[in-house]
Amino acid sequence: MTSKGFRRAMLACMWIVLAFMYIPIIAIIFMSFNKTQYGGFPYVFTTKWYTTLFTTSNLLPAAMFSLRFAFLVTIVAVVVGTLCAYGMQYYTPKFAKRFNTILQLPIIIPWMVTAISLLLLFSFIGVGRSYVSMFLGNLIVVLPYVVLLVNGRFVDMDRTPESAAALLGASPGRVFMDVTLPAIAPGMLAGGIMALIMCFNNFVIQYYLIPVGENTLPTLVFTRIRSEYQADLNALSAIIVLIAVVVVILLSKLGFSAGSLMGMGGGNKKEGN
Amino acid sequence: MAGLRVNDLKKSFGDHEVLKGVSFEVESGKFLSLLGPSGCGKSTILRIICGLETADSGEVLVDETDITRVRPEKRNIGMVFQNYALFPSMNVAKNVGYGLKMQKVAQDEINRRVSEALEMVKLGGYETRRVRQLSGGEQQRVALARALVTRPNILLLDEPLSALDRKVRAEMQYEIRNLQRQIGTTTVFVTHDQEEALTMSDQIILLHDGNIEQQGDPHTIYSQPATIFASDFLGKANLLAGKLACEEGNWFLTDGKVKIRLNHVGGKEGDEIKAAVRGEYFEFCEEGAEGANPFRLEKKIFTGLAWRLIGRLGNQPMDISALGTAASELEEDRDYFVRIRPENVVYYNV
Amino acid sequence: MKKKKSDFRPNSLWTLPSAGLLLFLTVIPLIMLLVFSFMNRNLFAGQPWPGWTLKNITRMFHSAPYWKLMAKSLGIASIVTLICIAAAYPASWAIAKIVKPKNRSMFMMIVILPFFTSQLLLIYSMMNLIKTGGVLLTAMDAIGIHGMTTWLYTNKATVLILVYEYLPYMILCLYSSLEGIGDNIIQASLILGASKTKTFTNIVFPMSLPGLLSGILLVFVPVAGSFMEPGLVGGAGGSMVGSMIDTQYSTSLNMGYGAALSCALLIILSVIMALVRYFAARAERAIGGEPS
Repeated sequence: MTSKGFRRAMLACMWIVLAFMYIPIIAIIFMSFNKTQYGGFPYVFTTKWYTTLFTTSNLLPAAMFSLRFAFLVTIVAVVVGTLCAYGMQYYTPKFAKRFNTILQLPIIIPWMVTAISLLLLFSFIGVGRSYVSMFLGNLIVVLPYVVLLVNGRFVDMDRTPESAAALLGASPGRVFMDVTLPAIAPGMLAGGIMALIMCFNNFVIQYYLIPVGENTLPTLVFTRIRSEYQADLNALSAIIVLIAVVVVILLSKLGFSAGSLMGMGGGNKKEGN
Repeated sequence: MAGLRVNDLKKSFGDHEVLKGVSFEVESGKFLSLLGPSGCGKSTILRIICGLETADSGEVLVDETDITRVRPEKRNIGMVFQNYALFPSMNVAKNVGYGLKMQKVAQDEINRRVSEALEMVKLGGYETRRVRQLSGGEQQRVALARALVTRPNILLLDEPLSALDRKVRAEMQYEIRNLQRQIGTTTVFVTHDQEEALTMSDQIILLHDGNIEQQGDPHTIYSQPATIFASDFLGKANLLAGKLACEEGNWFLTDGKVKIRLNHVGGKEGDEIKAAVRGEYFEFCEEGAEGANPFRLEKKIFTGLAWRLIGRLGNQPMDISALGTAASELEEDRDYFVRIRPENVVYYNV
Repeated sequence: MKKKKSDFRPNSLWTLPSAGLLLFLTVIPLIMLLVFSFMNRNLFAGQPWPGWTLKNITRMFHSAPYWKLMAKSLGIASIVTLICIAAAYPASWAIAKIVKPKNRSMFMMIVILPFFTSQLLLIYSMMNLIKTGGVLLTAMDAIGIHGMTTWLYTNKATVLILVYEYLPYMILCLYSSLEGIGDNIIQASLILGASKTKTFTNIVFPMSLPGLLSGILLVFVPVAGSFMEPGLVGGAGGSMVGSMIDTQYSTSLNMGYGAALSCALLIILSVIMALVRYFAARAERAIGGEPS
């Protein structure tokens, strides 16, 4: 486990994996400055696809819509999820365990099955595909992540300062704002980021529940990929990668670890049992 | 300043009856210790007094006003927690001033009183420090300042010293007691450490299994333990088994080999009894002196303050502790004679 | 006695909104999925109940394509999971044990960064890389490897893309387990005379099992249920079982049959996952680790 050759082999594997992950991304950024319509060679530098993206392309409006939509879902998920995590602290351990099982369902069930069963439900009650259906569908797949991440904070945090604040004359509302909220805020933030990204990206749920003829960014990209090479998509990809880099750097500066962001806080609690 | 009275508190968690009807009273300005092993219900009493826990029945009165149903934030009771319970998101001044802010005291008044309180706990100038940068002892002082700065009617201390190391702990014992005398706040102190309770308190209540085992001032509790549990919990007491006997109006414990005089408080001749005697109450004497009993010294251990002499009084094991010079002459595996005054012997029927 | 104003006290009722959402958006839809499997035709609001039938179930059991696709999906899911494990284990080991401690979290951030972009953009960029005339084939041509044909629109492309998408999850799971194994434990084992292989099978592997298990769950289940990837890159013969279920909803509109197919998929996946958990727990006990 400690010999030099072994360590080199392991490191080589790591770099190969990283290369595998990043070559396509780097290639797409590279191609976003290529003049050829169909992404072929020879390579001629241009920025015209960026101009297209910001002027005539339908990708940007879809991206903005997806972003607004994701924010809306995130806000609701964080509020409802935090309430839920707070309330769970007052469950008996046995009941909390049962509740946890149900809470994990939307994580464990493949999104496609969730989406189909929701489509059945909404058709049954007469709503069918609609923005409300899509909103609720996205909400239910991100809610468990928020609850689990915030609950993790509650489990880890020391609850006595809350009692101390109450004895110093703080009303329950003040206790929450002054003591509880600062302690659980990192969990809410991580849950919110998780929810935001998942909503922004969730193709499957949106594909089944969006009103016919409407598009979010994922559904639009899906249709566009199927049709033909679209150089403005390269430009958008490059921009999104750039944003992701900035976000990730920001988050690590704020002290988040990769595991805590993906909902795996201390170990592998996410899967539970 | 106010007196505290607690009437017939009962509390169960599930099937477990934690408090089985506890009543006591603390005079205004006094320092009361609730002493007992873990699980005896002492912390629960504290949590009921401050309102963090609700009793199943019974009442809590401050200056004869029933506060049993008052919400914790309206009780004006200060509390220091075992783990300090400081607010990690605030600096020292914000922590200490929190209660004043809740009382809507003006900011410059808050600043003044916070500095005063910090001076009082010897942390002058610590206002802008982050809580996490402080040592355990310093955190505890901040917690104390925070609890006292609002001038509470009652101060509750929930094992505040148990997380500190020995030296800091002794210092804090002294300081807390001093501060309490100075301010005169009625204080209830919870601890499982008998030495701490004995050094700090005006009054001690010994709890066992949800009941009061004994209450009184430290000296009485120590020298006159009312039960076998009390004698054992408050420092190591030796238990001697024997029969109650009476000769010419004087009462004794005898087991054939030893004969110890005691003050009769009940029972008749021939009763099986157990007597509790503390090792430090024995004195060495000549054979044939009044009350002399044979003691075989088997092992002597130096503990710093005194010698611990392990041996047998008659046939029964006995730990005697003796101060410095006298004991250093004694040799192991030799027979000596010891005696004890009758007022230092407490006995129980078995 | 009580004042209305200060009734903000937290209590278990605060879970009600979430519990309600879970009930109406997860539990009830799942029950409906089961119920609709026995439904005769499509159902829309306002229309009368079409009546019960076993038709969907018998049709499913007699559908050769369904079971063929099911087998293929489970096969692809197994291959993808195995490739992910094979690639992620050494990479996670390198990050957790070889890279300098201060750089570890940075490497992990690099690993999860693609997740912060977008699933579809990842697929798109991989498609662009490997397509005919794309960067990869052009580059290979340039260095003298000629005559390569693209994988795009074959099952290989589906596997490649799925590995690409799910590899970060596996690395993350394995990393958090491997990181928890103290270097001193490994050294102790080596000092006590255990061989390197023994140290791995007796110490490292059992301790990494929880992470491996969650990695398998996180990769196998969604991959087996995928339909978008085979649709985009699998070509004509690329369908997986998810594609067939999708057809019932997007093309042929046969809700009852689609529900029956999804129910069967869900049940099969649950059984497989239960088996994986069972064997993982047994393996752990057998090697002497504590059951998770």
